[in-house]
Amino acid sequence: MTIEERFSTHVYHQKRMLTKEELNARESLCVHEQPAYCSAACPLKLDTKGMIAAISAGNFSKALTLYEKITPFPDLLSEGCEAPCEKKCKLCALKDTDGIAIQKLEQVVTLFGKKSQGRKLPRTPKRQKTAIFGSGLFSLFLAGELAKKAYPVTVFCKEGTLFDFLSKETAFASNQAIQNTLLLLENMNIAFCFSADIDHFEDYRPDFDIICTQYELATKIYSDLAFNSDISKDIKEDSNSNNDSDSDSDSDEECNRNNVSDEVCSRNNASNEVYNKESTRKRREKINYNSHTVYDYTHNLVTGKTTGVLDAAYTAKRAALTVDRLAQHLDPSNTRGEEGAYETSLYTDTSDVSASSSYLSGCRRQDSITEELAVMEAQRCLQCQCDACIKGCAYLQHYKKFPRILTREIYNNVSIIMGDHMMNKPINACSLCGQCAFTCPNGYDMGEICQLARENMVSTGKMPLAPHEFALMDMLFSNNEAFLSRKQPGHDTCRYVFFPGCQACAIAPDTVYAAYQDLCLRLEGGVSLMLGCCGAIADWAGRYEMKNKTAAYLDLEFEKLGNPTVIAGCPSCMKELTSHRDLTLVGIWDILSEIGLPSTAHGPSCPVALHDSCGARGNHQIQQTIRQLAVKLGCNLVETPYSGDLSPCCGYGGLTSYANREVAHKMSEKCLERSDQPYLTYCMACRDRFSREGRKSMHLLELVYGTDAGLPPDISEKRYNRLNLKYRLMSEFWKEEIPEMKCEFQVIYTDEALKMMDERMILKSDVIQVLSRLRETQEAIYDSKTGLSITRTRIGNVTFWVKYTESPDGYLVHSAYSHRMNITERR
Amino acid sequence: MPDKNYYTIDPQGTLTCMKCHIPLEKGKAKFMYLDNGFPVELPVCPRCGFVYVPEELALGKVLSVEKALEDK
Repeated sequence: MTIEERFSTHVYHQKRMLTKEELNARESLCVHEQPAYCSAACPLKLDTKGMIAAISAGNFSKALTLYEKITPFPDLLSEGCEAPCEKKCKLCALKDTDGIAIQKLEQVVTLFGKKSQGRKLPRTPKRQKTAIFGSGLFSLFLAGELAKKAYPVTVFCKEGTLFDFLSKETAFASNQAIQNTLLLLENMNIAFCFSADIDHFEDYRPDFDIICTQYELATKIYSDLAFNSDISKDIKEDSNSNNDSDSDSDSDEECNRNNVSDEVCSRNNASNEVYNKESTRKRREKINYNSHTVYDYTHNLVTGKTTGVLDAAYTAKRAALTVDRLAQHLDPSNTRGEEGAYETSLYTDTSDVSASSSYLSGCRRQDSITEELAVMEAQRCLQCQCDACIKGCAYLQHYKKFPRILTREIYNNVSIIMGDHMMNKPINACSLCGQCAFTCPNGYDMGEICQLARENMVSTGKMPLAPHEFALMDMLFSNNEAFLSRKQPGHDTCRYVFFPGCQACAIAPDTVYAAYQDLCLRLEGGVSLMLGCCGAIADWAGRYEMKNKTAAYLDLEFEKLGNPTVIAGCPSCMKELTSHRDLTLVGIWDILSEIGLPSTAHGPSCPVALHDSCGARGNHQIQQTIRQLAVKLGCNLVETPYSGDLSPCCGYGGLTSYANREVAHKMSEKCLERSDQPYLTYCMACRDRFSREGRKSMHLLELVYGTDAGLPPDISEKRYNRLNLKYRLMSEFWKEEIPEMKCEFQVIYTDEALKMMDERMILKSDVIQVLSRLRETQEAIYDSKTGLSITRTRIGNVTFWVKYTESPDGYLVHSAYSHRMNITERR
Repeated sequence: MPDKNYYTIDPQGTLTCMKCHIPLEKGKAKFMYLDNGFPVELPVCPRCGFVYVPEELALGKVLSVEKALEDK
């Protein structure tokens, strides 16, 4: 009985795991990387989260660097900004909790942050000369933005001095902010032409490449520039319109009506041709601001209409981009990237956030805000991110990756033809338990991705056998040597068949025996018995051929029994059998709930934490029935966090305990950290994993039948238990003769050897095979240094070595090890 | 040109073949895994050809090469 190893590493088959569209659809569900609510609400795209993180670390200079990225005049903006971000702060939605005072933190940053002293890379000045006509915030911010982009800027204004120019529309600003901005302006490459005749700005046109004006000034001279005055109408149509409108239309009016984004581009040379090219970048739902920049092709003019400080800064930023596009002879409406504010699709769980008040409420900028208060305020920030899946999953925590990145890396791993497949381990380490599909607000199922990848690797011959071979061999053992299918003695037809599952037979054979006895006694219509594996192991290993073969085999056996109602002993078997067979299925919990508990039933004396099985995820009926039974048993149930549908996997699911012991151990720990009480399970694998981790755990059926399975068996005992249960049942129920399970020679193991073998997944039957072979061939060596004899035999895909000493009755095994490489002599 | 060996181990006279009753010698052997071959020198019985793979080698170098090849 062997499973064929993959033929070679030189396999160049390839099969697509997902189409690009399918991959994108899955990736788009993961919102971990989406901007925080505050950042998304800022049309200038301030990295608010990063800035607050820097403040909370006491690094005001870093925070200032981030803030300076969005505006040339941080002092003015921080004092005048309307701060739409504050309204979007997640803390605002909590009871008795203030949102983060972001605007005040921005002011603090400009106060305490030190400007970077390092020399910046010199920017090559641009050739195109730009002129800005008029004063006010739009002109000021636009001049700053253009200067940042290294355009030579000349500002023409009616005012007589720089101070007067600056004072226009900046009544909100403190003296300090004005002074700081003046200082900044003086150091910028901006020329000023004071007391200019700006009403005749066209006279200056020959001297400049691009002309920008205040909106009011432009409309005073060019009445045909009049922007659609009904801005709200624009916004309304904006949000409803899906019009890509690449086609040219005939009038300015129509252009404005079709305005999908908030950019208007009208081109009118000879033919009064107007077109609008926008909206292809409408990926996110936009929040509209009354911000409009206009580039008028007729008059070759950039202008902007603004209301408020933030709007002026944002409109100026957009106008500067338009100037930049024009300077490069590009269409200003194209390739602008995503502009403005939008609704983020981020999800942040605030269920465990406690109420807090702002430390800065009532503080005025210059007076009482100290660095300490600002740091304390910043530390209230949740640093919004979506980690709903990671919080509950030991697997995602181990690999420190969130599903989108993990999926992309797994997809690439499966797609590469040659080279190292670095993601094989993560693919095989997932327990496929489906917890993430329930914890994720969008239902992202990492298990599905890993399952698809496993299936793909098996079908292309790229899946190594090593991670799953032991489990698959175990499944073959369950469905061959340890398989049993019998009708209840004295019944030609049976209404039921009890299918306890391979793990129950391996871990708690006495419980299975007692359960079958009880079912036979109390159920009418006869109960057949089937001991075997449901095929979940092949399913988890991605080996669909094997899974289908197992399914067909079990189908045949069920048919031989007359297709009775299957009483599953394990929710995972139930799930597996439901998914691909036309069977009537019930759980043993349903039967017990119906016929009542037997006299042996007795609950534990101490409170127990109920651990829900992954097999019952999404099945509230099973979860409820189990709880009711536990209460009937007299259990004092302790509900734990992450119970029910959110229950983590014990580490057995998806064959994690075979493929990656480290991750499986972390998964068990994750389950056990939820409570200090003993655990009550209704899946035998969970019971076994928890016991192995040293926590008292019991299966519900152990309590029902008063059969404590005791310490967890090792891998050899698990096989022995299955075989022994089969023979015991055959002998005692069906009075059949059973083959003698006796070895010709005696084999004794040192304690160390037994421990070693369990860790190295070496069965006692493997050792016996090696020693039997030794008796035939006499092939062994003697190591005089240790005084031990050493022999070996290749069984299937593995060479097993045994270190032993011989005694008159047999052998004392001191150690055993194995390798998968085949060794031959070279002549 | 001498043969390439990825790994060499000397029996140092402590190992004896129990079938042939002669000491193991340093001999040529080859590890094969997933269609890849690695020539090595290991303790070999000069008569019956029994090749000995010590525990440290099996759980160390051999295991790491196996794992590396499995991810190819």
